[in-house]
Amino acid sequence: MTDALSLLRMLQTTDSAFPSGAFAFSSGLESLTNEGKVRDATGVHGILTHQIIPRWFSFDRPFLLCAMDAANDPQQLLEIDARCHVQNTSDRLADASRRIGRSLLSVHSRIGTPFVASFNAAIAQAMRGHAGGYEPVVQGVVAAGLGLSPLQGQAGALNGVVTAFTSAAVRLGTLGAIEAQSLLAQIAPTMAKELSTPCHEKPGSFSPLSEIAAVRRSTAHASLFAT
Amino acid sequence: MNALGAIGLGARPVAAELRFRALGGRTFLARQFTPHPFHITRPFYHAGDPQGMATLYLQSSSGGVYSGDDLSLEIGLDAGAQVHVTTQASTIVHDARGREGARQTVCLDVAEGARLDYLPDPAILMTGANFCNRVTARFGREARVILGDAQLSHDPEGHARPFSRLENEVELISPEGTVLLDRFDLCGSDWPARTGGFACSGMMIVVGCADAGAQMQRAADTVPGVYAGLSVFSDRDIALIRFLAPDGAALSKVMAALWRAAATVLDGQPPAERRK
Repeated sequence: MTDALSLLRMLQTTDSAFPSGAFAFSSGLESLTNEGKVRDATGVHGILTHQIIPRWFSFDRPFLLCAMDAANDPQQLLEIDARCHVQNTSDRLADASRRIGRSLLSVHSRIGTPFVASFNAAIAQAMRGHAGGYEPVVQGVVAAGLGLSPLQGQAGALNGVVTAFTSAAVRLGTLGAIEAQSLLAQIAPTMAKELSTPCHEKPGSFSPLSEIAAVRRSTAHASLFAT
Repeated sequence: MNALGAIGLGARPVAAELRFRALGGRTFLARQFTPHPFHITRPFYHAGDPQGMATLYLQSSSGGVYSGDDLSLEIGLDAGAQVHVTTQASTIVHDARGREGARQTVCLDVAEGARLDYLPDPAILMTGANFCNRVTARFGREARVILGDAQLSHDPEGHARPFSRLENEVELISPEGTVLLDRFDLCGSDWPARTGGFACSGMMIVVGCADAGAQMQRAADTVPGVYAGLSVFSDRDIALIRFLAPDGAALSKVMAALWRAAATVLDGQPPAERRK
């Protein structure tokens, strides 16, 4: 696949109009906002740069790259997906990851993205429907199927996480639309620099503030988001 | 006194082992191998605990964990045994002063129908500390485990100088294989931003009674300053509550409150207080 074609396919699949369902999750931002821990653009910037992005690099990224390498081996993908399952130790973040992953599996199966249908069938055959199809694993399969380079696959996935988060911040009223774009422009160099660093050998995460926020059940506010 | 101590630089690996057995409705310490710096109290039995539950305090004959230490502890429970293991106080992880880190490995082997509370006091990570902590719990069918794991970042000079590095891993293994693995590898300088400025972080896990989670969340919410969130994994019958605390006092309170809440659900009555 040519670079231009890969780029176009990456833009298509990471566009906010692509039906991944990511819009339903705020990664803990809604609780943090309702509880007064995040009040403005500075607060959103802090959570994004110190919680969300580090979690993606240390947790999602290794699974995505493993899945890219194993994209044509459904049994190996199932093993990677099972490891992702036991390491997702925040129940709502795990649920969000599965829901987004399964949406991606469904849509990409329908539009014929290579490797996706066989992985989807393997999940169904292994009876892992309730516990399988995690977002970074599916993103790795999709990236390989679209012929993306590892860097393109990672950049697309990371961009999806960051834009979903800022979009949630806008809908929660903690960030204006222009402020959101300014924030994205501001953090892009840091994201690019981090993408050039070696990937963690073992997936893990330490973002306790957002992870706790994501699983807190609010009784005082009606929730816009599932996390 | 610290929970697990050290014997200084260039130390060889030191391994301790404790094995418990239930006989006639009472749990006994059937085997103990506790080389220096490990030390234990005799088992205690508290009225109000589950029948025959032994309570044992881990101690240390040294002043903390130091660069180069390689300490391991294996705690085994035979079928039906009931044990509460805690520490006399926190484990101080000293400044590695740029040298190699210290390692602590804990293996919990909880046989079918056994019950283990493993609730060490937090690790206090001093400025410059470099620490690798691994806890593995293997459990059989119908086994129940309450497991605590917590850390506190501390600069004795009050200048907020961070620890060097913390690699932390907690793994739960059922007869079917690994069911939960929580791990992270963190530079100390990242601690304040990742915790949102809290000095203490930790989690408590209940295996074999996920229903205890709701009570634990309510208990955590009663401790001022603590920020806690519950995850329930019904498919594995596991509850995991993660928490942040502003200081050591709040951390101790929340860990005690969480354990009381969990034990009350597991045993049907509040547990006896463990004095330290």
